[in-house]
Amino acid sequence: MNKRLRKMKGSPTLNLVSLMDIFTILVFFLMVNSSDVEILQQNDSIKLPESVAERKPRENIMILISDEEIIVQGRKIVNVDEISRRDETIAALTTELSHHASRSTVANQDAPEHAVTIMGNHDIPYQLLKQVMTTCADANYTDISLAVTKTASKPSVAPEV
Amino acid sequence: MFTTKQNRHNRTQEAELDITAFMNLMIVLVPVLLLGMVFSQITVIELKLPRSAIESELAGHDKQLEVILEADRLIVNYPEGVLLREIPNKDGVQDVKTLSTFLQQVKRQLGEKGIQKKNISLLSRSSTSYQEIISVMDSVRSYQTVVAASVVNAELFPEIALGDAPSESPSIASSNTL
Repeated sequence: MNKRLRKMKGSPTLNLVSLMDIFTILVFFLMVNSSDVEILQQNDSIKLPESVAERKPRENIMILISDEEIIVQGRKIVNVDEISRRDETIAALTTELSHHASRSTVANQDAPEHAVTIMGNHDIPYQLLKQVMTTCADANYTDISLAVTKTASKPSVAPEV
Repeated sequence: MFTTKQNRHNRTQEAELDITAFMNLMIVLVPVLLLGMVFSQITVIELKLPRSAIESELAGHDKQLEVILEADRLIVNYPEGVLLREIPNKDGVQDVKTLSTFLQQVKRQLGEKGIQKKNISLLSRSSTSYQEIISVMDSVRSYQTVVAASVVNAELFPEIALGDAPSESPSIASSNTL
């Protein structure tokens, strides 16, 4: 009794062992999770469509299509209202893409094939998407990735034979 | 060093590490990593466009499987313009589940005839929304099935071409396939 009292009067110490355990586990968990570098920045102006696709995005030119405007690599190109529905391609976008094409990849001039990632708002009409994709195809950007938000996929049963 | 008996006793009983520096590091690291954590993961669907008009001409020779995205239903055609099945919307959204099941049957029947088909055309109206196209793409690319007690993605028709839906009559083939 006497001994315990003396001990309590001395320097009180916190037991931090469990806290340290938690922190250590948390730090490792977060480090592992954040190891895959986020290439595409989330943008508040658009909501990507949902898909079960699992392929990781690659580092390439990004075309962002929101309800109001088209942005290439963070630079605003054209307002969506200004695009005529009758046009096959978007002239301003063609200019920008060919500018990017000429600046990048001097190495593989033999295969004039560039990759592009399209981040489109989930409710843009097919009309606009087609115009953008036709423009990309015209500018030799034939390798198109459509950015989507990954959702959990629901397993469906195989059809009965 | 040990002046009293009690002091020596304390020393042996409560040997303690000085973890203050470690704790400081942890307290900084945890919020930093938490902030950088990705909550919604972005993935991509790869789409390969034909490099030239000639390439698309060549691809267009064999019989083409088509899915037309109408506002109120999905239409599956094989070959072009010949109706296989209409799938009406369920509760106002596309019935991609039925589409997937039906395409699995199509794939199997084609396989029995010795036709290994991988390509499919999605024909959309100009007002069809991006999300609808993506949902249909998901269901025509692959389906999930169980093989040896594990869920795998089985291939369906992964080579997708996008195009305009034919105007009214279903016999007119698509004019502007990308």
